[in-house]
Amino acid sequence: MTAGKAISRLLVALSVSGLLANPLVAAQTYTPVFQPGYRPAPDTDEGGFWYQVDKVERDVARSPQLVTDPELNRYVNDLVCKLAGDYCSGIRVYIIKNPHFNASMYPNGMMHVWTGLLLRAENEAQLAAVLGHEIGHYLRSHQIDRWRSLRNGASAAIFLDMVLTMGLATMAVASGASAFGRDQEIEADQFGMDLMTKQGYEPNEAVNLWRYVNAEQAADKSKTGHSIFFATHPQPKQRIEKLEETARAVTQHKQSEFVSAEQNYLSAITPHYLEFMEDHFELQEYEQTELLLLKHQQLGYPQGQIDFFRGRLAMLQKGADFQARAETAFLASIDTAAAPAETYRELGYLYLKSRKNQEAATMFHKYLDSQPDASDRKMIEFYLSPIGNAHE
Amino acid sequence: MNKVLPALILTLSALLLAACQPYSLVRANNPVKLNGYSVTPGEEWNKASYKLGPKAVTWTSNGEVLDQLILIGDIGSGEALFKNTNKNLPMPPFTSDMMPFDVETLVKTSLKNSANGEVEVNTENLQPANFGGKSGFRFNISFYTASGLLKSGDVLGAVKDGKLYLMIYSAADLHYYKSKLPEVEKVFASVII
Repeated sequence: MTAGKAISRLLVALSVSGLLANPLVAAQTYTPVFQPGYRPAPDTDEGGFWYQVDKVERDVARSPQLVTDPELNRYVNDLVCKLAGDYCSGIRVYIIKNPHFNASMYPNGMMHVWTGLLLRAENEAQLAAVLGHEIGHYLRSHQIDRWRSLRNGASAAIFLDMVLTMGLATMAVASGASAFGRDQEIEADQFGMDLMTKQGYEPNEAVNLWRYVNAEQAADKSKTGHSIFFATHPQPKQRIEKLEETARAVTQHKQSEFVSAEQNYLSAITPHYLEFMEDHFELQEYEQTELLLLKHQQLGYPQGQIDFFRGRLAMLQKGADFQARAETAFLASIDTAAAPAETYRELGYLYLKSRKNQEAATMFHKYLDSQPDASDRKMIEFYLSPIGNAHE
Repeated sequence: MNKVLPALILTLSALLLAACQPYSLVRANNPVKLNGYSVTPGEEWNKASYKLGPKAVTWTSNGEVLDQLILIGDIGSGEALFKNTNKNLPMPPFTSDMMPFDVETLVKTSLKNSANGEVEVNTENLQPANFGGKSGFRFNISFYTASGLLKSGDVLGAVKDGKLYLMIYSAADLHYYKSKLPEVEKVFASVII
């Protein structure tokens, strides 16, 4: 072990002031295993690992799948910094357009936050729970430890391959070798809860988020039930119980009220709601989408946009009276200011299919009026023409 | 060693020979029968031996990474364009009530899922088009491959008697897309259905 390594392995108190402000006697507390600004020597195994991950990060940094909006990036970054304290400068957040529920952390400080997570968290406290969990993996060097423990087998190669490819991929991960071990997941959960409560976030929100993710998984009737999240994380029942236990202990010893900060969160996500949900629809996860839309309605995302997606869902799901259900949802949407222009087009096509050509024409005109530069203008104009009208 | 080496050489040659037959020549100016329609290319193409779907034929000129034309036809209600490659990302089925607008989404999701969900396919410029004298449609696609290469393309299609017919052209945006487009237009215009 080099001198640098020895220093890095010193246990460092995370935040003395935080501990004083909130004496969590009941919960086990964890400390980071390296100092802020740590970088392994290039000729060590860890240095080699970082080198590989740095290469991945260069690709990620210029990926077309990055969400580059400065405000959203600032929002997530600020939250990470709040949680990570002195370690903030070592973490780089990349928000990735991927509708699955996931976030990931790499040993060199690269953090991925998927848009599917942003669609499922209900408030800042829930996002803080996941970010805190990821920061926990990072501060405890879990990935390096896991890799070292697997190093002598074929599973080490699978593990490395997994770490290096899972960043942007939707499903490229084999479930054989988990990114982290079960104990590491529990440790990261506890560490994450410690970090979030030190910043005053309601610990029970961590429990609520995992419960929801579980329920969404159970609602899935269309597929095999292997989500990306459960491919890389142990089944959540035990984790939820452990989190509940810790949350109870923390709440008993609390000195001030915890917050969930729902409004902050919704203000940050709402400008991107339409775009993130469009990506989500490509998953064709109908039962899960029903649950998700119900949650979004309760949270207060723009009703016109929720109704738009309800209509789209009915059209995709089919079933009894689906056209009537879709029509009701679309009509409710255009009653609001938040309705996307595409709602008129959806209604136009819906009427065209049920041979209500007059109603279709009205909606198509409204669509073109609100989207004069629509790239499908010629198609819409075709349906407005006598030939197109006779077409269906 | 004396015994292993010849065996190794034999195995390797067998593997190389097996790898020699993935493409067959598509001759220029000869009508080619596809699923439910025919086209006449103006240039030579290479037809891949693999099939993305039971009713999908793939042609390429410079290799699929650089350009490809997928010719699909006779897709009935409930059938998908491509075979499933990932059970978590099932291919969406075509239904006979689909309009060009719906087919646009169908193509988008099918291409995305065929790339393991790793590409975000953009579509635009949906417009009416001639498909072998029938009323059809066309639109543009563009996407970055997982390795970061920008691809552009054109899709021409039609729904006739409840069956879907489609040609999906995509090529590296840099140089290849434009250089192959005149030939692709020739193929598009040659449809007999």
